[in-house]
Amino acid sequence: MITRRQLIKTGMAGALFLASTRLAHALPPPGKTDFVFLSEKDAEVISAVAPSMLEGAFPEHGSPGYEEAVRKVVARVDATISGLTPSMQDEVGELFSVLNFPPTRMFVAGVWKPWTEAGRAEITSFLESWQKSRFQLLRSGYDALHELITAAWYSNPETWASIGYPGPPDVGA
Amino acid sequence: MKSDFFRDGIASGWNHIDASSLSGDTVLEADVAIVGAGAGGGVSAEIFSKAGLKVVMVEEGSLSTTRDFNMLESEAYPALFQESASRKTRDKGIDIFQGRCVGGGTLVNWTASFRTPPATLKHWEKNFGVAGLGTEELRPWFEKMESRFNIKPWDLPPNRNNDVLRSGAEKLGYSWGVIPRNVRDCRNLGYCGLGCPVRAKQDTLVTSVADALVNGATLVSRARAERIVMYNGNAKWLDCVAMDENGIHPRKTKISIRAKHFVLSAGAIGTPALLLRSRLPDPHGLIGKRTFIHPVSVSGAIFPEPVEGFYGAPQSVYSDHFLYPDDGKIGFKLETPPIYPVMAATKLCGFGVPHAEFMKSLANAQVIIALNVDGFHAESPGGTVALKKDGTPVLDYPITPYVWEGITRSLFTTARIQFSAGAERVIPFHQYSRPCKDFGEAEKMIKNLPMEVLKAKVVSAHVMGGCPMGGDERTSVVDCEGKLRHAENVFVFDGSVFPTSLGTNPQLSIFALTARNAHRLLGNGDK
Ligand SMILES: Cc1cc2nc3c(=O)[nH]c(=O)nc-3n(C[C@H](O)[C@H](O)[C@H](O)COP(=O)(O)OP(=O)(O)OC[C@H]3O[C@@H](n4cnc5c(N)ncnc54)[C@H](O)[C@@H]3O)c2cc1C
Ligand code: SF4
Repeated sequence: MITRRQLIKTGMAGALFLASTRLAHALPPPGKTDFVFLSEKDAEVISAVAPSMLEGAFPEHGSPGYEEAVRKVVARVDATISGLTPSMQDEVGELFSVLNFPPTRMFVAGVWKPWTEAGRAEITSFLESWQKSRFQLLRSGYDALHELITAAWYSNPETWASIGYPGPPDVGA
Repeated sequence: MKSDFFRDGIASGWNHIDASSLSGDTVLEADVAIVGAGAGGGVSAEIFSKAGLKVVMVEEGSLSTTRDFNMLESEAYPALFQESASRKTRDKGIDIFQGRCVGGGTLVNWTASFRTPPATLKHWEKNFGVAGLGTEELRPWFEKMESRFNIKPWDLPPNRNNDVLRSGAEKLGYSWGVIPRNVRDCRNLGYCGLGCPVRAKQDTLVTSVADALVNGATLVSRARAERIVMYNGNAKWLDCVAMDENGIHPRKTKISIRAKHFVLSAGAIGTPALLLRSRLPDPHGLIGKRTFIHPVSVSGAIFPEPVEGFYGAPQSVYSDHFLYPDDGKIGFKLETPPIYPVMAATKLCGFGVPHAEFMKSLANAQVIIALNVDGFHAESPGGTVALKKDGTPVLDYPITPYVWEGITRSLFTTARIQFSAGAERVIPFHQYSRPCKDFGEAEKMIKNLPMEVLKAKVVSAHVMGGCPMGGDERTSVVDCEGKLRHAENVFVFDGSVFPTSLGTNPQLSIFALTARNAHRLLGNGDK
């Protein structure tokens, strides 16, 4: 139940966000995937958002490393989430529900096309609007995506050369 | 697999039970059951086992030992930290780091080892009726623990990350000092925050817990203490549940521990949560309230030369110049964190090109943190631990305007220090921030940063309080010897007993107070 206080605190967008997660959870379960936690749809969100989140570090769209980079980020995000506590997994699940459920994707995230078709500019402005939203709940949604995606990228030793990190020293036997 | 002395010990017959592999419910008996094998739990286990008592330690986290520590964040965070190092306050506004493993916070901390500041002890005496814990009375305990954990001022030159704090402070006429560290034959690698790979850090895993096992204690890892069961004012049982092998889901297997004494060392958040789940008497509703975190602001800088903040002892220089402002405002302690890629990337605000630009300069990046000292003023009453539906805890910590003022002021100070030490750019960690080229620009920008959660980055690695000690039953959960007020045989020996934050890094205060109180419980007085 959404309480009155919550409604006032988070405003309409937040209320819609909360309500929609209940709706979205009632949708039929997604098909089987290679992932532990992510559904096919969730993976599409990460595949679409990661190149914008990591713009400047991520291979250019259409360049040879692009598809591979997307696959790796998605796999690492999946691994991270599956190591989280059950209650954190529930919260991340709610976030994906909001981003995947078309009405909330459109009215709460402001992304009009499905994630697989949304352009870079549209996704960047979604990230900006949540990053600086006046609703705390949306800022926390941005923060979760930021944390998951940047951790997935920079935990991969293949990215370390690009940031001048030689990696852990050899400590011998 | 490499061997290490802890694994060798287990092979030679130390009593270790990995609860995730238990095939059925188990009952254990002990003189002393200890919840949590971190700072307080480790020291307690060593002292009680040495006195010849039968000790059982219960730890929710895994047993990872020296050979497992490969300096990779992707492995250390899920294996060694609470909630994969992503624990947050209820509104997600503050990132909280706590250990969750045998060794607890001491296994992943940055080795700064300070005595409790005299001003803090005086404040407790005056405002919370804390007796017997003056600087002089505690001195022998600090000395004992300093010798136990080989705590000495760091005698190698600081790494560049710390040296920036030193040189900036020196240029500005701010006082600074060298940090005492709990290490032995330290190789100055810098990965203390991910588990020391060479057994140099004197965390409780390789010291007290190991010694307790040598003395015959039993360690049960991957077991979560669920509740204490009382009869007639006495605790009788500790009910625990085994975790799965990844430590994520509780299994059906139960471990019940029958003991004469129960020592709670599950840390701040953890210990109040266990008491709340157990529904022990709490007539004044104090359990979990007044939880403090030293709210930390973060300031990044890019230097023209390499800083390599990922290497070298992570904390070796501090400044207490701003710890006690005389205008009643909140004070802060200045230190530096290690600069590992995932920690840097996740805490750094913003996304896209500006974020990528900072990350590309990671080798030249420098970071100063300011730890705001909460709990000493009516307008910084701390946070409250509550239970979620599944019984796990969450901290609600509203940041008051009084605390925000300190966060803003500390960002001015840290930027000034960084520029004085030669920074090319300074970037306060805030969603509305951009790299600044000189102090004037930074000053103007910081003035206008909106101070709200999830706009300003606020983090904490020092959770304290929630079971405050004190002289008055109406305002304290435990007495000044750590005994729970409303149970005869339950004691709290960890960072949750502090009535305010400490104003310094907590581990040595926890070691010393635990050692004192454990000896008192043994009837040794102050010997
Ligand atoms: C990244 C980081 C850096 C730090 N740097 C420093 C530093 O440089 N200097 C310093 O002095 N301090 C530092 N600290 C803080 C310091 O490590 C802690 O304050 C200290 O370890 C707290 O001791 P404790 O005994 O209260 O709890 P902990 O050491 O946290 O131990 C509590 C243990 O109890 C376990 N537990 C919790 N609930 C249960 C349950 N229900 N059942 C079973 N087990 C449970 C936990 O898994 C944990 O292992 C740092 C902390 C972190 C995380
Ligand atoms: S600096 Fe390196 S060797 Fe020294 S304690 Fe830390 S991790 Fe161990």
